[in-house]
Amino acid sequence: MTLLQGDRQLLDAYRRGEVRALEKVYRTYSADVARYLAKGFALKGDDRMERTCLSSTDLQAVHQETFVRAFRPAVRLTYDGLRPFKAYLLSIARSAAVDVFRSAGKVAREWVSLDDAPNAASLPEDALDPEASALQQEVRRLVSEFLGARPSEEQRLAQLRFVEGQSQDATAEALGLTRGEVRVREKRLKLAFSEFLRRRGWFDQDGEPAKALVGITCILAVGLLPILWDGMGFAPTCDGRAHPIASGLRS
Amino acid sequence: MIRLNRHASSGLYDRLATGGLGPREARLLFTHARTCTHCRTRLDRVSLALRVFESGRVLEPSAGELRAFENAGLNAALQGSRRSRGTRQAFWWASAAAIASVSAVVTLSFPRELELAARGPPQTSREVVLRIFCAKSSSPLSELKQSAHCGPEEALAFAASSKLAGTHVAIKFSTEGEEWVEGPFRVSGTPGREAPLPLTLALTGRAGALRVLAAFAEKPEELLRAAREEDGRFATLRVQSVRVER
Repeated sequence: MTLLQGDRQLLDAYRRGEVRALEKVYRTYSADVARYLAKGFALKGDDRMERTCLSSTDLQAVHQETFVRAFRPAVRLTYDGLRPFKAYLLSIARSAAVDVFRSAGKVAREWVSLDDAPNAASLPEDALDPEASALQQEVRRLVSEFLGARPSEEQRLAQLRFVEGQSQDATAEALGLTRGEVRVREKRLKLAFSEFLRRRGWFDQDGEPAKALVGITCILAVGLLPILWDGMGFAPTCDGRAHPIASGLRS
Repeated sequence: MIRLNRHASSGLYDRLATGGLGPREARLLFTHARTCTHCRTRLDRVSLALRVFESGRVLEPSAGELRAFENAGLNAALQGSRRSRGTRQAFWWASAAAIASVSAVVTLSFPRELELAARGPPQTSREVVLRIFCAKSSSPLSELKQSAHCGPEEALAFAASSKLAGTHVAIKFSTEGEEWVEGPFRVSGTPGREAPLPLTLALTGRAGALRVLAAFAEKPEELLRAAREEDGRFATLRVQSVRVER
């Protein structure tokens, strides 16, 4: 039972466009939409498949556009309160992503067949081209170097919170700290990592966005590399270009 | 929407890392990054590093990113829900815009006294006028004087003029919990013949005092600094309060 399915009053308020209801829906599903978009999409054409992964900047733009669309009066009214709302919202997210890719010329209109193009979440992350993989490895080396130089308590904190995905409560219990202490130490650790990145010049590597993994666009051309997926073979290559897909979106 | 004139500061990235980017900062950062290659690249690289740091995975947004996305998009989503409230209102907006246009040409011949207090220094002061109108669905536009009120189901419309050609205006709205800037808009009217601005503000869901500050200047950067109330030396400001109530 999802948020709107289980609460008739909230559903009615949402459909009427009441701000509190909209905000509740937004905050409930914001992270789900972001995670969904972050996994990228596979768009199927006649003889090839394109997987597109959003950079953080583009992801935010599409995330915002998703809710702008979902909250339009006509769209709100089309939600019947019976279907799972999250799936409904994610379909809007996918449509918004495809539209902005189209508007940026990333996807030819005739290519897109959403029904036949499931999102690419099931594709392995290591299905990246050598350049993107190298960048990913570079980041991992940085993280490893950073953590290696931290005190053992902070390494343990990072292990529990980030690697094992433990909650702050569970981490606090494991480390004999209060939850507040964990929160503060975690914040300090992130700030230290941010400072570390800055010192290592990570902030200042302007270069070509194409050199970054961010904004990767993975072209999966049928037959280039035999990766069996949904009964078809798709080969990943990433051109790595940061595409200005969001330029036409509202701010 | 306020925009950054310079590259985003390191502090913004620190707050992105810690999940401390507030709604305004998050909007600023992402909006700026869309049009600034330098900041876009930097933001994307930092985000990537944070993802790997937190989860080891590049396709899993970091906690700070999730927070920033949430904060950055809410305002636009709610604005969108207010702006397009169906065919009837769409029709009304079109009508209101038409009325405003016609009014500007035919009837906007207001007395020259300013309802809005000038705050710019004398050497930069120029004759600029902003007029605020309450747009009601069943009535003609009515001009709002200082502290006049407009209903929550209605909308504000604006007309402006300047004696100097090439003047632009940006308008900052402030309520109890929110502030934002719209514009810049080119000012085409001359004093006494104010021209409508391509801006309406739906008041749905709002209540209480709404402060309207209009900054007039020639250069966009001066304009935005003035609209943000950071540096008003090179702009002329007009301020008026409007009450949103039935």
